Amino acid sequence: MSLPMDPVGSAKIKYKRKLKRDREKASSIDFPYKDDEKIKILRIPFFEIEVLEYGPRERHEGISEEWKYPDKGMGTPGIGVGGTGSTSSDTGAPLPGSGLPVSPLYSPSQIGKDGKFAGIIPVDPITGKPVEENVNIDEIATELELELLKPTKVVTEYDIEFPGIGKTGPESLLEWNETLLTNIERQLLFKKIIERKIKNLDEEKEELVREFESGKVKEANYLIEVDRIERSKANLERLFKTLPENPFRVGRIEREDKRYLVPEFTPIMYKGAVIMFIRDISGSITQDQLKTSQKLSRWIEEWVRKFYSDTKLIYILHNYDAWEVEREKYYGVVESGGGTRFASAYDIVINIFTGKDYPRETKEKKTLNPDETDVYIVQITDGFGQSYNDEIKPLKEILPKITRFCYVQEDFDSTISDFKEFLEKEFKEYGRKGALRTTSIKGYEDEYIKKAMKDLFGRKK
Amino acid sequence: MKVRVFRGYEIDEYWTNIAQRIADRMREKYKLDFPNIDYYFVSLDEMASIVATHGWIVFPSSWEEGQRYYLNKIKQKLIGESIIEIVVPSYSEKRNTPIKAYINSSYNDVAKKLVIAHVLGHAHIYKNNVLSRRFKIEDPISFFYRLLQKINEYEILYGEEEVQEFIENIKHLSTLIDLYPSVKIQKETTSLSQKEKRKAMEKFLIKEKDKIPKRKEYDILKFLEKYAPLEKWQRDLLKSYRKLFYFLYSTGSIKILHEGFSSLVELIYFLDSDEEELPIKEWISYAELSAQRELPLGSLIIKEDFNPYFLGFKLLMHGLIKLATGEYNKEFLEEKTKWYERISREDLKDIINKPEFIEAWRKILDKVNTYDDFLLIKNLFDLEFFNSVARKHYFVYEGENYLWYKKIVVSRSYKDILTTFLFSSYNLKLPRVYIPRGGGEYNKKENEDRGELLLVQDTSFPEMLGIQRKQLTLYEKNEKIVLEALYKIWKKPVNIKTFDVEFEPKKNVSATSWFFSTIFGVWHPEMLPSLEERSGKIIEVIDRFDGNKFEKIKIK
Repeated sequence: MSLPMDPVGSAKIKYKRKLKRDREKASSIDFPYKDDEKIKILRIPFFEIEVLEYGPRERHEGISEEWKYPDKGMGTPGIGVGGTGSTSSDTGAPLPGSGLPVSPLYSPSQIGKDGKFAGIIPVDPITGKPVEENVNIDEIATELELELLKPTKVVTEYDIEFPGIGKTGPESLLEWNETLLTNIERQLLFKKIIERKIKNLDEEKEELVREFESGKVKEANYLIEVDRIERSKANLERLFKTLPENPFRVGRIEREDKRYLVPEFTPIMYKGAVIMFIRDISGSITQDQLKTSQKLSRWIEEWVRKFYSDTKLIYILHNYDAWEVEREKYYGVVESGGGTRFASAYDIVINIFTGKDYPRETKEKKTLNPDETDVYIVQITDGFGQSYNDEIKPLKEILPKITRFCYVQEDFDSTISDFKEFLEKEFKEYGRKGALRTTSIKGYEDEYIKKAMKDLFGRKK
Repeated sequence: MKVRVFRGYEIDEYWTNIAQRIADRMREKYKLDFPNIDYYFVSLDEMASIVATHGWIVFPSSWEEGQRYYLNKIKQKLIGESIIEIVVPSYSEKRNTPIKAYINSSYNDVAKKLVIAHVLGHAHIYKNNVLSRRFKIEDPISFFYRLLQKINEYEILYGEEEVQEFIENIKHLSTLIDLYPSVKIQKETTSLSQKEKRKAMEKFLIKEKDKIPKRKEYDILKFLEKYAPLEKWQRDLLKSYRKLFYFLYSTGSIKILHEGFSSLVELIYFLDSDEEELPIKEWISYAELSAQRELPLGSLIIKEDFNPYFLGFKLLMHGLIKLATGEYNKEFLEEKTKWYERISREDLKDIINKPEFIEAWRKILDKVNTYDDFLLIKNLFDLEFFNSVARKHYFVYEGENYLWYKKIVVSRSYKDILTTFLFSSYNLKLPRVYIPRGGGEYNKKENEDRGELLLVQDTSFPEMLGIQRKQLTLYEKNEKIVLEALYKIWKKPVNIKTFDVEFEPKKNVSATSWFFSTIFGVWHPEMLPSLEERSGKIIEVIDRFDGNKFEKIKIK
């Protein structure tokens, strides 16, 4: 911020707090906008401060709506803009009243039959991300369990510590305090050494004089020696003068002064599972079914995050094709379309295991070793895919490697797919071991979601 | 007068030179008068936070400012809205501190030059207009800083929630101030004889105990500050906020003048400069932008549906041309009103340099210094203006303010449009309410120091303009909230004397007509009320809130 100070300051926090407290009281402003050729709505909660103003009174009961403004002169008069021959550039759009914005993107044709916009999702006003409802998982948490069968530890990150200090190292690890201390120390020491040397020279001279007087040393030698001592003494004294009076002042930092941190790397071990969500968004999926798959994956995610915090999550969407997406995109899906094929999603799983690249909208390619980590796959679909034998071909490759395959079938209508039964029949052995669990779900109410979760992750009896 | 242009903390010398040159020319040639000005080139994000606080770098913070900030950010992000400039009068004449103008740095050079000229217009009005100085706070920045510190201190002492709730409560009452205070005129003192003096003294001594308030009080916040049972910190905050409301609302009463005059200065600067300074190519892109110019979102003052830039600019242009020619004929109108759109630059310069034009410009400056919006419209919105400009653009509608599809076009006549403009520029189109003499002792019982509170709606001025009473009813939804807020401060029942329109549906319905309407699903003519009944009857009512429920009491 190049301004001297932030004028809004704590007001942002106060607004957020107000939002938390009085969200229900807020009226809202809708900003429709286009994203990926779909109309989405940013719904912003808006608090108004009401003041005394002109306007209609509340009418008595039994009076028809039409009679409220039957004649001229009933409402408060205002000035409108428009009429013949006026250009919009002259006058501008009509100004909003009391700060309510009139969006130019809005047009009535975009509204659906029920008066709602096509892709309506609650969005957080500050981050612009979809708002997540609170999930209370504690009720059924005691009945659920995520089995971690593969105990092998995998190194993910390194923890860095700096236990020691050394004389060499990269410049980025330069320890200033130590460097300055050594600098001062060196200066102190240097001063003391010179003082000691001068003292020694004095003693030497005294001894020389004593020897000369007693006649041990000849005159010529004596003079030469005295000259040498005095010259070196003068040199030392000159050097002494150049040193700073206060030794605690930092002098020039030499290379020998520099001290560096010595790093030590300790690997962080982690033990956790990987959950892959496969969500069907093909044309046969209704809005209610979309809601269900969204809610179920959200609940599972919440439970796992709370009790198995090391668990990693991978999100896959599919219709006829499949692709990996980021978390926000996964939950942001509002419309369904396209044909259905499960095998495309299974292929992605295989590619993740083998390390090949696959269709994705994420930044990094993911690789996994199923021998080292527990892999759970949660597939949510209505069950109407291509021919069953083709669909389960890749599954046969996957199932022996992973810990559990959870299949959720959304049976909403009278026509129910028999893919679930087919799976149970085909992989009977896995079902007995607990590596395959299936369930059907009939609605997005809490009770159905809870039942499905118990079916998929309930404790073994 | 010194002008400086800042980028962050540093002075931008290139732009300072340009701005100084523009300011000098406008001052010398067109007699604009303004104090020192500091321009800041700011980014979009900084603009959002400045707009949130009405342009001040220090401002008492509540959730309202936070909301405005986020709304601005979202508008920038989605609609691509960006505010070009915002000016605040943050100067004190004693210390000679400069006016501050924040300019969006993302525009091209021509736009920046024109906005620099535009700001000079604002600065001129801030310094010279009588009405903008009426409720001016001396050195606003330090006032806001003190208020901010006070709020922080009280939040620590009494809890943030309680303080913020109190502030929100006051904000509901923010319009209950007196923007038209009566001016006391001192009578000439005459020498009295001894007898007369004694009589006067006796009168003074016997005078009955003073009522609360002594005389009609329009400034209700002042009354509450004096008589309401408040704690010390609450009274202190109420006092400061009252000052703030006066400051904010008073700028609203010269909005059209402000924006219109600044746009006019911008145009004059454009006409006076040459191709080298303002290349026409770049000017076109700026013109497109300025055509969409609106008031900042969430501004306190917006209650109109028209663009004040356009109206003010056209009115002042009209005045300028009329003054320059001395007369007003139709031929001149058709040729000269669009002179700046047709002829070449050299011709324009000739027109501007004519002595008639310079004389007319001086007269316009006199008007700018003394008018407010009401006077501007009253004096310049004449029949010629209506025929040339307003006839195309404006109509009168009735209905709910914000819903365009509920608006009904009522009239396009000159008289109706003029009265509606006058009505909406008087008191910011807000209802005026006063406390009558003794209004603080309404329904007072014995042994009490104060009674209930009585407010009365004053419709005398709009009615004088020719607006009917039934058009001036109070919006009941908001009225209830305001009454609640008043109750929280007065701590006794609150009444407001206003009026309502009563409808009486037909009671005597014959069996045949009832049968007719049920079978065909259409109102039988007999069941419909007559015209008189439909237009309703005005009745006086007292709306009362006693802490629990609202009551509507008819006055017979």
